[in-house]
Amino acid sequence: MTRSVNILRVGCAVVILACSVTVLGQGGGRQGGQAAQVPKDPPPIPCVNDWQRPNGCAPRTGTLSPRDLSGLWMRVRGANNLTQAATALLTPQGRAVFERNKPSFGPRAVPPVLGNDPLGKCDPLGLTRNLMTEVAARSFEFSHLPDRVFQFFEYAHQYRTIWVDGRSLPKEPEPRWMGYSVGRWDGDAFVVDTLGLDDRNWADMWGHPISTNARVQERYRRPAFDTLELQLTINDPDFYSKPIVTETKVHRLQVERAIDERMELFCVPSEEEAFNQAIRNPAGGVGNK
Amino acid sequence: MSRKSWAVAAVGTGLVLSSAVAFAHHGTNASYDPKKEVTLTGTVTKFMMVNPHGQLFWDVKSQDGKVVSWGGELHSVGLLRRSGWTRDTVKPGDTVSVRGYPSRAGTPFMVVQEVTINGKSYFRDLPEQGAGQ
Repeated sequence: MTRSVNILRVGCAVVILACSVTVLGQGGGRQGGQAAQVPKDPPPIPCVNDWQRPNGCAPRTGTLSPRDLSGLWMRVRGANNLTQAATALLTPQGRAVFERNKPSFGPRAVPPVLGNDPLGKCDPLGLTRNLMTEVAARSFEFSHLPDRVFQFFEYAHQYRTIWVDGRSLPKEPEPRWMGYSVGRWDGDAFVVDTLGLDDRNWADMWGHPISTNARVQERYRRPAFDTLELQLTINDPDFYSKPIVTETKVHRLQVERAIDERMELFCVPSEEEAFNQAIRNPAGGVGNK
Repeated sequence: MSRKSWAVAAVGTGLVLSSAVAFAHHGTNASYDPKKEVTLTGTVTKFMMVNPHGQLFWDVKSQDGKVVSWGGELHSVGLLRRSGWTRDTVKPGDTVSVRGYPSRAGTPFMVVQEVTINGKSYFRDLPEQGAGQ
């Protein structure tokens, strides 16, 4: 607290001094018949490409409100996939679906043209894949309203609604790509329960399946101003013999001017096709149509 | 910075697959070999800062004078911007050194890891890039 006050005092002193200099400068300009100088933008913050802290930038500082998750977050630590630990838990039913899924990533990767990854057709990626994979290189954003929390995913401009008005999860939800979610606070942990996921989803980009009977729980914590933790639990008895609990994934607040807004990244079929024609198909030794 | 000449060979099996090609991308490590990093210097012919991946094309002249046109894939526009790229970072006619992982199929394409132009390097530079591949 004392340090904050001191910083505030120093800051005020700097502002007052700066204002004095500006006023003096403008007065001189008018006397000389010159136009007032338009203030220039402050120089860009040099540490732009920051998501690899601590090797990059210093920690962000600010007032921590543990129950306010607003902001743009990008993952800096944690696995992109459920890993082989989940593979080992597949039930016979789950394994059958897993074998039908032909991913382009992970230990069973095949060239995309030989696979059936929903990503290649710009199909929605679904909840768990968005949470685990796409936020590693692209951001997501929380926005709080009184009765709901929106979570926006940069990849493909996807979003979901998390209801925080006390409602219960529906008993027989219509399957959705992102499921149906309700959230609550457990101390300073934001707990989100989701069910009703569409089984066309892949749980991750290794092709692990997820069923319409799956229940997903997210636990978010904000232990520091610029840090957001997430642990996922997937309880899907149809496809996995035990609940899957992920490691704690860590996300960093994106505050630099160059990166504090979500980029536009739609998944556009025509762009996908143009890219495949120009690069990915010939790179894979595959001729174009 | 060493120059390497590349014998480019089409892979016959790929031709069989051509009828299946429509959509299908991503799966970087399925298409490129991260164990065979190469650096190639040449002259830029085209740079496209587009989604889903930026594209760089450049001509590489081998020691015997033969020119091979290379293509490289970069990240999406947002990620390139975050890494300091702009649409003017690379222009046709520029001399560039491009480091990356080449096509497993032996065609002159790579997934670009670093582009050096006028002594300045631009990186692909993402967290945990290998984790999900």
